[in-house]
Parts: sequence; structure tokens; C-alpha cells
Amino acid sequence: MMRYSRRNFLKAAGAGITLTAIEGESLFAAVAPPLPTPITKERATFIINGKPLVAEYEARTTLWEVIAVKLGLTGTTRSCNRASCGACSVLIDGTPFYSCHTLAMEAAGKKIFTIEGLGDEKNLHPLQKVGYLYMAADCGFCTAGWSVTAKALLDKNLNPSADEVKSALAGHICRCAAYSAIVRTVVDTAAVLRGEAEII
Amino acid sequence: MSQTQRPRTPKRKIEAGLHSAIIVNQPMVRNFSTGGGHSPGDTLVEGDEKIVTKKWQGYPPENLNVVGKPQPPLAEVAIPRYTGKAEYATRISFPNMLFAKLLASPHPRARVRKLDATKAAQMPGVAYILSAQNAPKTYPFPEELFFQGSIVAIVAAETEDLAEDAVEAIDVDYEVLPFASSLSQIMSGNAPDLSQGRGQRRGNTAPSVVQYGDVEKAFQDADIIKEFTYYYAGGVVAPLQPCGSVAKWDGDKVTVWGHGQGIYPPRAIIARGLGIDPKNVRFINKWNGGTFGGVRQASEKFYPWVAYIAKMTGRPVKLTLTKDQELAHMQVKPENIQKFKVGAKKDGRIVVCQREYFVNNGERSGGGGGNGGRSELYLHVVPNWKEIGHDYRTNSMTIGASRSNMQQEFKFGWEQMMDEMAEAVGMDPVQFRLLNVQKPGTKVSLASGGPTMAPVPEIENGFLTYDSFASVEVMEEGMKAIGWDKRNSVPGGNPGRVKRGFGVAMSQHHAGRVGYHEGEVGFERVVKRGGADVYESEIELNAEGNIILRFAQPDSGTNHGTGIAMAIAEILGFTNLRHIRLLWGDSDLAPPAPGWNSGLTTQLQGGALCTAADKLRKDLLNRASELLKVDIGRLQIRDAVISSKDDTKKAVTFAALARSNEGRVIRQHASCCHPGAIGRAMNRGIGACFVEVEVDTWTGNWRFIRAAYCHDTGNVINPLLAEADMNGSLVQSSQVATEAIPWDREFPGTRHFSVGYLSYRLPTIMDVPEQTQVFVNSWNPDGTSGRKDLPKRLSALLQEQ
Repeated sequence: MMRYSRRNFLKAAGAGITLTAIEGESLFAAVAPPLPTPITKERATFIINGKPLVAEYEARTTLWEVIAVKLGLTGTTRSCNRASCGACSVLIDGTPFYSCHTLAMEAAGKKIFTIEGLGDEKNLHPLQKVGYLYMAADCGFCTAGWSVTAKALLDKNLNPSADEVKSALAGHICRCAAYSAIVRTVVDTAAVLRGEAEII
Repeated sequence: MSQTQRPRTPKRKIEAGLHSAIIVNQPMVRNFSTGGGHSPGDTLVEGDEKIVTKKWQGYPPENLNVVGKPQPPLAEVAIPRYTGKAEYATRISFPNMLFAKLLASPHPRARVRKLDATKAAQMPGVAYILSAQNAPKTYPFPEELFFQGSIVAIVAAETEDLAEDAVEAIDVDYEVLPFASSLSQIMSGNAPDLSQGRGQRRGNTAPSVVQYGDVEKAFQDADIIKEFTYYYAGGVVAPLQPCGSVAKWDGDKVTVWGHGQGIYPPRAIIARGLGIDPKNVRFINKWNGGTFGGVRQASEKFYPWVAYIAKMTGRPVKLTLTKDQELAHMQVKPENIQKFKVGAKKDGRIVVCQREYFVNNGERSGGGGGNGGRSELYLHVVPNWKEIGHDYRTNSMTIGASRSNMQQEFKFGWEQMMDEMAEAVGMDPVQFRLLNVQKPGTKVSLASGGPTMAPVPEIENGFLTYDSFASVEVMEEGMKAIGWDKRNSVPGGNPGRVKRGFGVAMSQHHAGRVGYHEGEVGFERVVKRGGADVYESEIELNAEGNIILRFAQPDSGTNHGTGIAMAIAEILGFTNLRHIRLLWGDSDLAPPAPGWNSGLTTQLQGGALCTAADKLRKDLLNRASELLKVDIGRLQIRDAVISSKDDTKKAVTFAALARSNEGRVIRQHASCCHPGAIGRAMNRGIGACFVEVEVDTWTGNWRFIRAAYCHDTGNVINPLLAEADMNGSLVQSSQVATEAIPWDREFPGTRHFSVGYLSYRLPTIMDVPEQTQVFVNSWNPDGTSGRKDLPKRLSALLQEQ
């Protein structure tokens, strides 16, 4: 049985490149035998929440693993590890990416924004304050992901409609289904940032 | 006018509040002549033995300062969810930690003939490989791999990738055995015998039969008889947090961070699995990224092995299951078939019902299909009943609680039947349900009450009587909220390809089961009987004047700690939660308790804490009386100050009382036990869900437009949390009702997930209907301040008409 996963995807991509070069056809590359297990060593600097941080990793290592495991910024959660739930989202140069399916080497040297950059308990971002008041997180496992995506939206559009918020966050699954509170949180945070509303 | 001269628009206020919820308070005092708690006075007198207990648990729902007011959850629980600091087990990390990965069986049924890990052990970064060959004798691997995804080996390595490389290098020779995974396979003529030699070839456990009344005669007397068959394909909860754990040893003591709905039960499993004293196991689980009833097992069964590998390697070990592995080990809602034969009179009264159900029990042997969810069907006015249950052991995942206990998957068939019978007798589905549902005053016998009904002290002449039970009100309020009178009552009667229609379903839930508190007759009896689920708790007042609540239960987004804190604030005379703190989810900090389930947390764990708070209140009043030389009856408490009602200058603070005590802390401990049965005054919860959906009659595609979701809640402790919880319930329920478990289509007949979330249509932000939550306060006489326990995700299934 072929399982879809990042590992198999990478293997298939690798095998596919080889086969394509030889035969120009790689439809069945997904069932190619496993690659041997070389450990490559990469080293790069990542500008995470404004701070340059250096990590060593293998070429196949994901950005999530570098952020959450190698560099210890555990706020970014990984859930599906299949690029389908959005929990692991971070911003790379201001654009949301699923860090579980972004290779670390793709983000090397770039500006990365994670939940730790949004605000901490002593200095909460309005998104966090409004979310707290509106119950935008039940279990909270998806919160880090949609929060950074919402931040990216608000950085570009300070007056989003509910539909625009839904479109922006459509790639995030919240299993507690706090969706309606999340939409209201983002719309009203924008009002706070515009100076039209204040948090009590 | 220049911009500077323009009058400023006042800023809109952003504050916690209800979005679209309605609270309907019933009259405070009602008398259903039930002997229950709604008659005037402050005592309940129940049962043959005329047992007397304090109504409202001694705290009447009048002049409340905290309970009933919407407020966000306590900051120490909720804020870390927004800052990325909530300590889910998956966030626990240590510098020298190893990462474990599973080798899982690809076969629905097999045995391992030979396993060769020689090559894998030599691969880079591999620290340890655990298999049946070297697993601890106290916690062996399974001999027969009974479902696809069964565990074969665990590899621990320096990184996840290296561990997975080694997993793939393990050479396994499987003896593949005949299997049957689905109901159709196990019910076929050539199904293998999976009953361990105990059962029949078909229906591999003996059918269970329940009968009361005279079924044959009732069918002869019925005016209308109809038969229906319904199939439910199974459901699974799919929480976001991956199942897993971290184990770390310090000398002889292991600390395990886990994922589930309790801390003491898994602690006991780890101790048993490793053959060590439970005192040497610390179990921590404060935050969960969703559990939904089904998660516990998928983490729990691996704890002893993860701890064992940590012991053998001398390093912390973390296991995170992949989604397909996790979904293979979580409890699922079972696939089932229900057959109904129903007899009714012309006026719509159901006079007889025969139900036969067939349940795919997964790997579980023997009965276990939740008895077809009978205790949760609102059938108690049906006078004649026969039920035949068939439980099948199959090569499939474990069944069990999964988005509540095993009930919705059977309610699904029941509600479909109610709609079809309504049509058969020519009645409106709401009126048909109102005619056939129990109401306050309905008496229920042990025979008709279902499998969770057992003798309790409150039984009178062999019957319990429904008391606080808003079955009529949830229907009437729902009709109003959805606009039922505007519906086209002809099924499919609207013109055009894309049709809109209304539907309704009801859902009874057992969460009205109130626990017995220390000092009550029921408590003593249940504990004396042995094997009781006793929830302990501790409350302390410290020298800073803060109240610390210590309790075991982890938080899954349930925010039960806040609900409990609100009840306790009321008991201790606070008008806010500023002085209440929580210590939870850590076996080194919290007293023992079973796990939580079935929406009973604030009744059972909360019951223990409320009793402890009651003791603390009395203790503090005694101390203040002695210090101030004022009679207790003339003392009052408000926001941590006890003063004389006659002379407010005579006062002492909670903090001062704590400081004057030895150790500068005042503690109280209390317990509450699960009743072990439905009981007390039959104050269950009931709900009704009204929906409007749009269906493309050409493609079958549908869209959820809006819903009115009505709940019989008793006095809602925190409407903000209740609304949030029920919003989630609605969306999850719609998924459980409409999306079957994603069977593996590559290998028909096996039942697993090749691609995790991608094969399961989990609702997204685009799928949410407009919704109104309606909370009907039916004033539970047995609960503190009149509360019931709102079951997390009280689920009413959706139906399309």
C-alpha cells in the first residue's frame, strides 16, 4: 500500500526526476524503491521573528522540524503532516506556508514569522486579545496556524469582510469548529487596528 | 468642515458576550407531582426510603453574581492557547530526546513469522528497536495482528526521519490470515471465525435479547405497522493534536506527558505495564488539542512502551503517531445496521417497537456495541419493546466513545424511523415526536430504562420519575427559532433542481446523571458496593487570599475548570474569578480521580470541588466567628471579606484567616462519586436540532444553511463557553452524520486511512451554517445553583427532508 506522506512525496519526486531524465515518463515513480539513507548536513541562518538563528539539518528536513525541534520554538504545531490542515502555518517573507511541507532549505535566509512573534502573555496582539474574548480557540491546537495567516491578511487588508476572512483561512481546519468566532475575531481585530474599536 | 473639526465617532466596544444564543428560563419553582425537586422548599425527598437531600446542592439559583454571566475562560488555561505556550504533549521537548516511530501491520489480520531488525539497528542515528522479541514481559506486543495498523515494532532514533528510515528497513515475514473487516464480510457465509472459538460462525457472539410488555399482542392491536432498515457506515473524530507521548526518567521515577481525558488511569496503566509502583510514575496532561472521547486509547496503549524505551536508552523519548496510524488506533463510532418494525395507533402513538441491530465491534470481543445505544433513545413511553442485538468481532479498529459514547450512530436510525413513521401516520414530525417522547412525570422502570439504569436509592415502587426534562420546550423553542411554520411540509415539495428544506431531530443525553456527594446516602452505598468511580479534589486558601483548586482532569478545550471555578466563586461569596487559580492535569499536584467522560465533568469532578468549597466556607465562617465574636448566622461573605451583617467594621479577610493558620494555608478535601447508573430525579438533558439545508437533487450535493440548536441545560454556568461549545458540536455532528469513515479504497474490505485527512471531508470555515443556540433552563434541582452538565457536543443528528 502506498501511503501519501512527505517522505514518500520526496522519494517519488527524487525518483521521478531520475526517471524523467532517462525515459521521459515517471507515472509509477511513486512506487520506486526507498532511497538509500545518506545523512546530508546543511547549515543555514533563518530570520525568525526578527532574530537570526542558525540551524543544522538534513537536506530533507522540513521547516517545521527546524523551527519546532532544532530551534525549540514549539509554538508552531504540526498536526496532519500532509499539508492539509494548516496547523503548522508560518509566514515566509509575509506569505503563509505549511511548514510541514516546506523544506527548511527553501526558507533558509528568509524572514519567518511564527506565533511567538505575534505576542506573549505580557504583550498580547489584538488578535490574541479579541480571540480570547470571543472564544476563538477551544482546544487551541490550530490557533497558532490560523493566527499567523490572519496576521498576514491584516497586514495587507485592514478592513476585510467576513467572506475575505473565510477565503484567507479556508486552508485551516479547526476540529472544535470555532469558525464563526474566528471570523468575528479577525474582522473585529481589524476594527481595533483601524482605531474604530477598543478592547474592554 | 475640516477633518479636525469632525465629531469623533465613539469607538465600538469589544467585549466577551453572546453572539447568537438565546437563554430561556423556565419558572423557578415547578411541581410535576413527581416527588422530585421542583416543589417549594429546600429539600429533595426521593425514593421508597424517602431520602432527604439538599435541593440545589444547598446553593439556590437566586441572586447569583457569577454563574450565568458570560465570561472568557480563566487566563491560565486559555491564554497559552493564543501564545503557542499551551503544553500539549507534542510541544514537550528535551535537548537529548529520541524520536520514536511505529512499524504497523499492513494486513487486516496476520501473525509475524519472523522479524529481522539487524539492518535497521545498524542504520544511522538508531538508538533502540522494540518488538515482540524484546518487549517487557509485563507489557508484551500483540501475538495476533488483528487489524491493519496493529503494532509490529517501535524504532527510536535521533530524528523522526532517521527513525522512519529504520522502520522501513525492518524485514518482516507475515503469515497473512483470513479476515473480515466490515459487517458485510463478517455476515457473509464464508467469514472466518474470529470469535476465539466461543461464538457462532455468523454473529460471533450470542444475540442479546431485551423485551418488555406484550409485543405480539401489541402488533395485533396496532393500526399501522411499518418496517425500516438503516445503515450507518461509521465515524471518527480526527482531533488536530497527533496522538503520542513523551517519557523521561529521573532515577527510578518516570514522568510521562500524554494525551487523553484523565491522568490517574493512564498512570496506573504505565505502572502496571512496567511493573513498578504507581508512586514512581508522574503523569502530566494539562492541555489537549482535542480528544473527543476517541483519542485516549491511541495514546494510552503506547505509554508503557515509550517509557520502557526511555528507560533502556537513558534518554527522553517522544512518540508521535502519523495520522493514518493514529486513526487506526483511535476509537471509532461503529458501523451498524438497524432494523425497525413499528406499530402505531391512528392518532400517532407508537404502541410497539421491535429493533434488531447488527454492530461491527472491531477488535473488541464479546458484546460492546453500546447495547445499540438503547439507554440514549427516548423510548420510555413505548409500552411494548423487543430488541435483538448482534455484536460482531471483526478485523477492524476499536469501537467506543468517539464524539460522545456510542449513541448518535444508533440515534441516527431512530430519528430516521421517527420521520418515516410521522409520514406514515400523516403527522408533522415535530408533533409526532412530542406525542412519543417522555415528559416530566413519565415513569420509567428498570426494564425499560436501558442498560445504564440500575437500582438507586431514589427508586420508588420500582420506578424512577422524569423530573427536570424540557422535552416539550426544546421543540417549541426550536420551532420558533427556525421558523418551522414557514416550512413546506411536503417532502421535496419545493420546485426546481436545487431545493431547500427543514428537518428536525431530537437527542437525549444521560448527562443529567448527577454524582453523589460525600455525606449523601447514595455516596456511601456506591462506595460500599466497591469499584466506584470516586473523584477527589482539594481546595486551598493561601496567605495571598487566593483560592487554589486542585483537580486531575486535563483540558481539551472543554474549559470545565472555569465552569467549576464559577460555581465555587458563588459558594465562597466572590463576585468575580480574580482570586481563583487552577492546578490541574498533573498527578504530583492533583488528588486522584478517574478520567472524565460523557459530559459529566462539572457534575463529578466539579461536584467534589463544590463540596470541598462548601466545607471551606463553613470552616472560614467558624474561624471568623471565633475571631470576631459574632454568631455565624450574623456573618456575611463578599469578595474574600467576612463581616458582621450588623457591624461591617467587624471584618476579617480570607488572607488574614489563612495567615493565622499553621502553614499559612487552609485546605479542604472532598469527594464525589459517579452514581454508576442513571438515577436521582431523572434529570437528563434533551436536545432538538432544527436545520435548513439546500440539496442539489441532480448531484446529491448539499449545503448547510442554518440551524437552531436547542438544549435542555439546566442553569447555564457560563453562556459564552456553552455557546462556543455548542457551535462546535453542531459542525462536528453534521460531519459525523454525513461523512462515513474513509475506508481504504485501494484494498476494499480493509478499513484504514491511506491518506489521513485528505480522504475525510472535515468541515472547514466555508462549511459553517448560520446558527442559533437555544439554552432552555429547566432548573436541575440536584445541581449546585440548578445546573445540569451540558454535555460537550450534545449531538443531534441532522436530517434532510
